[in-house]
Amino acid sequence: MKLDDLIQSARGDEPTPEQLKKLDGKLAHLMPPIGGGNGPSGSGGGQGAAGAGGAATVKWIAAGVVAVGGGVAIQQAVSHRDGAPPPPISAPAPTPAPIAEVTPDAAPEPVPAPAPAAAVHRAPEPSLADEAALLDRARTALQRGDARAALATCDAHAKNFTHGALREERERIAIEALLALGRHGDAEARAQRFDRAFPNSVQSERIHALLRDR
Amino acid sequence: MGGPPAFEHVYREHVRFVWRTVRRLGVREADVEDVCQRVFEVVHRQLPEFRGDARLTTWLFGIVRRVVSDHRRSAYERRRDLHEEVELEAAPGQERAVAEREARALLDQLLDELDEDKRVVFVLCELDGMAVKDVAELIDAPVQTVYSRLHAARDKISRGVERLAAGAA
Repeated sequence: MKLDDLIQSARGDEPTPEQLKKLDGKLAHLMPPIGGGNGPSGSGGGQGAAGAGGAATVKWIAAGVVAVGGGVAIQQAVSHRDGAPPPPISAPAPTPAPIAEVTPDAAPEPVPAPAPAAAVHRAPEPSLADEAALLDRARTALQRGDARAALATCDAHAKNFTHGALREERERIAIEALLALGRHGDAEARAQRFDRAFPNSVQSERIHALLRDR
Repeated sequence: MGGPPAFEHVYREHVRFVWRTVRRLGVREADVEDVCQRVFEVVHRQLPEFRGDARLTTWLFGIVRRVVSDHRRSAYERRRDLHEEVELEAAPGQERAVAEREARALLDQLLDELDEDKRVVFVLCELDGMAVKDVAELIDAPVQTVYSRLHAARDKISRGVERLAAGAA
């Protein structure tokens, strides 16, 4: 067993055309409708997606050698320039992912009950849609001047989505609400915790602007 | 320029990178699609707030890291792991495919032994073939830091390979 063999085994990490197509379908509701103007590709139908994906050869692996000198522009390194156009989004079939009520407190640390393999099935993850809906509620409350309700909703978010993907956004709203309530010290303290937790967040500039403006 | 790029453009430009990075940062094969979906949902939501003073790729990579680490923390993921081990053992099939899957599983195992910072650097440099200076920009860290993490990661992985080889002998 050699390191190179292991590194080579990662070649298959690229998505297959079928996998890309499925993901396209799941995200289609976030794209402008076909023919709706600024789509870069001529969207000829589903076949294009499979073709483009299939052409995605794995050029990125240099036989286990680390490329430390080559001045490849980051954009180039990150995006794939395989010559083929990116796959068009073909299937406008959003998968709404019905989300079960999240009770994070009820499912904290794993209780690895030795469940039979067949019984282990996909437990629903907390949904981003639920998370987003909660934060939208907080934002709306803030907009109508009900900072107290906004803060309570942020607290509910923190409780229900402890590791939520939108927690930076939640913190910004909460800090804004604290400022609106005149609780500047709390807002400052929360902002400091935010900076420690998310040092490179896009929200941090806005948070600091909020603190400066008050 | 002005204004953030269109979501569709970001998605199409970066979906392959996001996919393989999600996989290599420790998401099991069966969950990659869901996690990618989540990444791009977050991207879509936060894109209007993206400002040109940060690199899009750095911003995107930050989202990938966060969503992946959230996912891995979940109890769901751990339960899922149990399931996959069983699947691996049960998989018959041709020898070559099995050997490749085994190699990939071993790579996962060794990557799991790295801390997240070293894993990120190892994945981007060794598996994605990116230059150190590009990785430094992507993760917003000094070049020297990337070098030292890479060095430490290689060291640990090499020792892991030796250990595995000794165990197999």
